[in-house]
Amino acid sequence: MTRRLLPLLMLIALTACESWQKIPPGAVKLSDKAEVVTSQTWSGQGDRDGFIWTQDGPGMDTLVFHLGIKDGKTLFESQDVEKNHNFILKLMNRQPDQISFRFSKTMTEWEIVEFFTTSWGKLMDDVPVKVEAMAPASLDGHPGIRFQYSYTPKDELRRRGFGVAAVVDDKLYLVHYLGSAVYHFDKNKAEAEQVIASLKIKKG
Amino acid sequence: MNTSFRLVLAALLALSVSACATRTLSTTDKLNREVAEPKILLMPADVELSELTAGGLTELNAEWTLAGQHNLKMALNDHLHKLNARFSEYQPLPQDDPRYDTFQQLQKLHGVTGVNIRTYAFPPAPGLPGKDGKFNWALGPATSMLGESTDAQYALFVWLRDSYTSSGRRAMQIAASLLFGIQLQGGQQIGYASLVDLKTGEIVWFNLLARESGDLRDLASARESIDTLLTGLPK
Repeated sequence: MTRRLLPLLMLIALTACESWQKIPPGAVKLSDKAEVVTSQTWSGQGDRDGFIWTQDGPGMDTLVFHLGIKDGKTLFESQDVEKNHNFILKLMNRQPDQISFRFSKTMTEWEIVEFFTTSWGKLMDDVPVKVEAMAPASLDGHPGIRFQYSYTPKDELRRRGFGVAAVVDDKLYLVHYLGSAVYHFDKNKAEAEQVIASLKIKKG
Repeated sequence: MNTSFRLVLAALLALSVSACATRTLSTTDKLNREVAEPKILLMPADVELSELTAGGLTELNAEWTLAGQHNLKMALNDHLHKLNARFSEYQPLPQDDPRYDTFQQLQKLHGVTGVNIRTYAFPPAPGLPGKDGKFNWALGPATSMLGESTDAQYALFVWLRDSYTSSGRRAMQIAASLLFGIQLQGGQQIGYASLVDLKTGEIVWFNLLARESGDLRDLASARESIDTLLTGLPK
């Protein structure tokens, strides 16, 4: 049971340290540099890694905002294995047994998608995330890429998702939505599309 | 990372175990009588039995799980007969049937939905404020395919996990109690049952069972678990 529930619990645990806030329909300021508009009510929370919105629970439908990942940073801070390496092992000059996958401002669009799928798959307990489609797109008018993906974590419930990413001022802005393939992906996809299309990024 | 999330799991399970054996959420207390005698489709119970190791991790036991599945099947049938409910058992489809994958995924979705309901819908857990306190979870429109192929109006999904304290864990419990005066967690029985309206896909009744007793390896005990889990099932 433990093993099969891990990916779901990771999504829940990812959100466990913050309390959920009600996101009513209307304009929502996510940060000093980003805001969106939603026509539906969500539950949401945010921290240094970005913002997560859901309607039925993070294991079922999730809209994730990564807003301004800097050059050299990981998708989630917890994935920075070098920074989080045990300090006693550091003193002993022992290196971590893996290296972090980091965003680079020089990445191609394909590499950005690979950065995302690798990082997300790692978060989901090392499951492969399959890219199903990619196409040029824009995020608030900034040239970027749109991608669709799917994966089956160890809870065996297949997830489908899509995202849009662009590099603005050398920082990565990536918003993606995922849900259970059998229900939630289709349920909230249109709303997620509208929220992503409404994203406004302030430069500078 | 896995260890920390196992701890999260343990914490969530511990949170789920309350003084009350069962807790119910529902949108109705009776079946919709659009047809005179609504039929319930009994889905195969998703059940796993495991041993709680000295270190506090659960190890799946295939032999116990098979016994538990057998006992639960009998117990569920007996319970629904006792209620005089009109029901039929789900007949597994061949893997090349186009509906096979969808029905499998609905079973998995029920398992994941139950974890989310358990985590967010039962006080004192912080809920999802976007839901405005409403109980409105669903398995979606694909459930209508279940109704079309079986002439049922509802489906009953059951998910159960039963763990038993190993001798090593018991020794740890005694040692922890004697040396530090603390009580280590033993085996638990956690489960939930959902009645799903096959026309809308909505979960109209959900019952959570969480306790530190019960043994699905034993038929009499499995009957008691099912009687408890299905307490208040709409008629």
